[in-house]
Amino acid sequence: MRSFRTRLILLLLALVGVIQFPTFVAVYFATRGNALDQADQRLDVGARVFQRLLASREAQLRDAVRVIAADFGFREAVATGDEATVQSVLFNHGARINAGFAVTLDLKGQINTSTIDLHAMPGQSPFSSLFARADREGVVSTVDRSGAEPYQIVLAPVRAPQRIGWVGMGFGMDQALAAEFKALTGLEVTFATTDATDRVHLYSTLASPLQEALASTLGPVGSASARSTTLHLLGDDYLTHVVPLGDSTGVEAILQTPEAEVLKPYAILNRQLLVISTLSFLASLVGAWLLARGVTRPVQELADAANRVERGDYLGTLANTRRDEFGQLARAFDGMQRGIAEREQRISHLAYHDALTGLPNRISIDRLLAQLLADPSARNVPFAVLMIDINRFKEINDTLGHPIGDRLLVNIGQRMRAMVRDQDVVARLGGDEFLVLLPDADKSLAGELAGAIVAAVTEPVQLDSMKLYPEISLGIALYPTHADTAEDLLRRADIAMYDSKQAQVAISFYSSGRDALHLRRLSLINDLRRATENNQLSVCYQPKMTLDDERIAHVEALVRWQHPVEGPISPDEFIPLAEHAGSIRQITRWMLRTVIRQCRAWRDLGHDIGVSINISAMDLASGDLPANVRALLDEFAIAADRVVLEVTESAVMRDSAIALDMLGRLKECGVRLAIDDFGTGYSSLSHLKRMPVDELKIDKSFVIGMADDSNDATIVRATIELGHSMGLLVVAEGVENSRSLRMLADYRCDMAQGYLISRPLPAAELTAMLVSHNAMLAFRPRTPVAP
Amino acid sequence: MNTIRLMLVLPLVLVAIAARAGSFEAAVVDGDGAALADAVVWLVPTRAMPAATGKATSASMDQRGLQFVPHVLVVQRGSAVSFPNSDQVRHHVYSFSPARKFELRLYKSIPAEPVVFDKTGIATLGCNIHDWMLGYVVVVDTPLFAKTDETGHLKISDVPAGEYRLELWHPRDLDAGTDRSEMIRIDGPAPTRTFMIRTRPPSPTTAPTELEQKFRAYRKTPPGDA
Repeated sequence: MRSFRTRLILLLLALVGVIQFPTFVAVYFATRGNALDQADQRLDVGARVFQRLLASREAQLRDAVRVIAADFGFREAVATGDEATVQSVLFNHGARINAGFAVTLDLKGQINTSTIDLHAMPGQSPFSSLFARADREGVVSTVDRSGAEPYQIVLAPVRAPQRIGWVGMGFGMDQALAAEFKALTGLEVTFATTDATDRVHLYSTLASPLQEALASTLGPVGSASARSTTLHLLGDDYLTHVVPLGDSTGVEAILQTPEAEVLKPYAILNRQLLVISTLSFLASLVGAWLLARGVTRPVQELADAANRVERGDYLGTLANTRRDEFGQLARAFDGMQRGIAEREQRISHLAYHDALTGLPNRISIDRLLAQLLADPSARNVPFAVLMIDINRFKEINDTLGHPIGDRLLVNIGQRMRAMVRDQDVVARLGGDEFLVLLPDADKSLAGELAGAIVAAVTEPVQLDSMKLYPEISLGIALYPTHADTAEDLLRRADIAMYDSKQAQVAISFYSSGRDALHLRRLSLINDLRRATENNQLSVCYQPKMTLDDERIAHVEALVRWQHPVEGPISPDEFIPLAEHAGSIRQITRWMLRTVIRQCRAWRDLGHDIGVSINISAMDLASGDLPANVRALLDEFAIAADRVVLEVTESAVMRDSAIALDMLGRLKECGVRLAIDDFGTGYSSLSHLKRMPVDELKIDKSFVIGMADDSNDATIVRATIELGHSMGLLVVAEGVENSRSLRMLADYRCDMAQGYLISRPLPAAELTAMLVSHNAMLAFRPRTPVAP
Repeated sequence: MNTIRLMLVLPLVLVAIAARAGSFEAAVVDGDGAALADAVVWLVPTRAMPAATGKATSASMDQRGLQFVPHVLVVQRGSAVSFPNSDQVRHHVYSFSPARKFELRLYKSIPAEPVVFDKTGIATLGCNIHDWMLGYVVVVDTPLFAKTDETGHLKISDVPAGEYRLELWHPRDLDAGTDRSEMIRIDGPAPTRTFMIRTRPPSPTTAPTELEQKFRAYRKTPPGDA
């Protein structure tokens, strides 16, 4: 790819070239054409000069011949045949005009006297063709030839007074004349004739090789008219002008000039032009380079800076003081770079830190662990990973709102930070999960610090008007004792934390073998999310028998999960998982709908059955539960008092304020409320008194053993009395033998539930059971206790 | 001596015999048949005649109007020809002809001596001053000669009967040099002979040059004559 600079340079050069090249070509051809034109003109002028030269020589000859012909003495000498006198006259006058030769002829045209050996001229009378004209015109001049010898002749008759002979004078058109003419015009001059054998004879100023070349180039000398041509002689071009001389005599003057000589000054001019063009082109090149650099250097600097920024180096600055657009761009770029640097720092901080608490986040921890584990010098140095989860934080968040939850998280983060050493790292992994990394800490130190953290964190927190009592679960995994990879360490710390939560203790160390259980839990949590969609959940109903009349007017709905691989999963196992994973609300919602619909189905069958549904503590934190219940009641046209929502005592006790609020709202819906598993929690009577409940369900752990354990029996009896004293209906769960049932009846417990009466049954079976049971009652009226 | 005397007597006898006859007439035309003036015919008797020298007298070749007048002058051998100058200007008459070479240096009126032509032949006359002036003196050895007039006719009277060599000459004869002589017999009146001579055109030399005309015009109105 060509760089912008190269393209710019090329463009500028192309522009210069586009301007220069035609100029050069135009000038070249113009000057060349001009030169050739001028040479042609020079040849033309030369030809005219030559004609003039001939004419002037002719005039000289004419004058001389006239003078001689008119001279009395000469005529006398001719008339009297005084040859010596005639010769002397010819010498004398010939010398005056420097004539080449002089001649007298008799009336028959025979040569009388001649200054040259005219025997070289073949034929008896070389001038015979001229006599008639000479006689008529008094004098005749022409260019003629004798054989191959060209000459210029002027011939006049000698009269005394009648013609007695002829006198003539002339010049040979020879080398000397050619040389003279060349000196005059600077042109190469050649006189050409052809002899009888068509051989070309030349008198020429050309060098002899050139003469030979010319002779062979030239055809027989004809009587052609003047012509211009270019002859190629021995590798050179000659501009040539051919001038025929005389009257059809076959004598030609050839005027030539070498083209190279003609073009020489122009060649110099062209060379200069070429040099100028080249220099200006080079200057353009330099200019273009400078211009391109002026344009591209700032761009290049920007590109370099951008590359630098790309590599993550934000420290450089263009510091461009230019005042032009590039300067603006550079300043804008600097600004952009600062912006990017700031944002990246922020992003980087965000990437490695939790925005809310400012503590390092999971990614940060991953990196730290990776560094720690990769450091060979730290191979055998133990360290500890503490996984911390705030118990029931979700409820706090949901019921008190996120701002409170956030403030609590920040507060807890700060407290933890305050409890650990400088080199320790406190991180928030997300949600209510924290992690503390304790480098260089063995089990005892880890335990010590964990204790300190728990102690600090569980101090009550005053947020506005609210006082919160945070509880945390803390799990510890040790390196290298428990795991030697980051992943295992984190997971095992998590398992340990979960164990803490399960065991309702604050701190657990990871114990080996917990992994498999943990994995099963994780798998179940995952599967549970899709259980409702996949119709893996079902509901069984366990009847509640009214002890008064042994009628069954109520059932408790119990969820069942048929896992596709694991088979039936006990609610005791999966409900806590659902609560932990947050999917309990989904299940509750599904339960409500299924059970209320079933209630309607029974009613349609003519069975007026009340239904009880268990509500989780987390459900109580869900603000839309009352609306949901109301909607379902409306949808299935079920009287609100046919629905009992059962809440465990511990659920109500955890966040009593929120729970009470929610219970109140549910109560407004018209549904009945029951406290489940009563007796296991720590609710105070005052608490109980404030709760808008209608029923108490005595925990089955008391009921199961009451027949054999007087303590349990006492508790059951007291509870029943307590409930009655507070105007509550009391239900006993876990009734498995008839003695217990009789005792409960004695204690005036309102309802009993348990395997003695019926195990939980699917809806259809329960319907059948109701029919048979009620039918049986119809035939056995008023028998207090069943067998 | 007797023989000589006899020779002298015999013609007289013959003349006496042919006393009554004796003239020769001729007409000369040029190649186009036009009358040709200045053609000369002369008759040379084949025998000596006593009266042959009778006409050898004098003649005159005048120069008038920058021309020789007459253009052709025929004289018998031995005649003295004077060259009077009737012009206001001087002439320098010359002849390089073998018949008679002479030169009359610049003169006016009549030169001191006439020129005697004692050889037959044709003397071509020129003037060294006026190149165009051309005249001929035809020197014949007989008194029987004549020159055609403007009509091309000539007549030689009183020709004794006898045999003659007839000669014919014209200055512009194109065939000059050819022998035109023929033998004729004069024996009483004879019909007019017609001769044809092809001629060159006359030289156009008599007209005054442009320069001369200007000169003359200038002379007529001399400066300051008003």
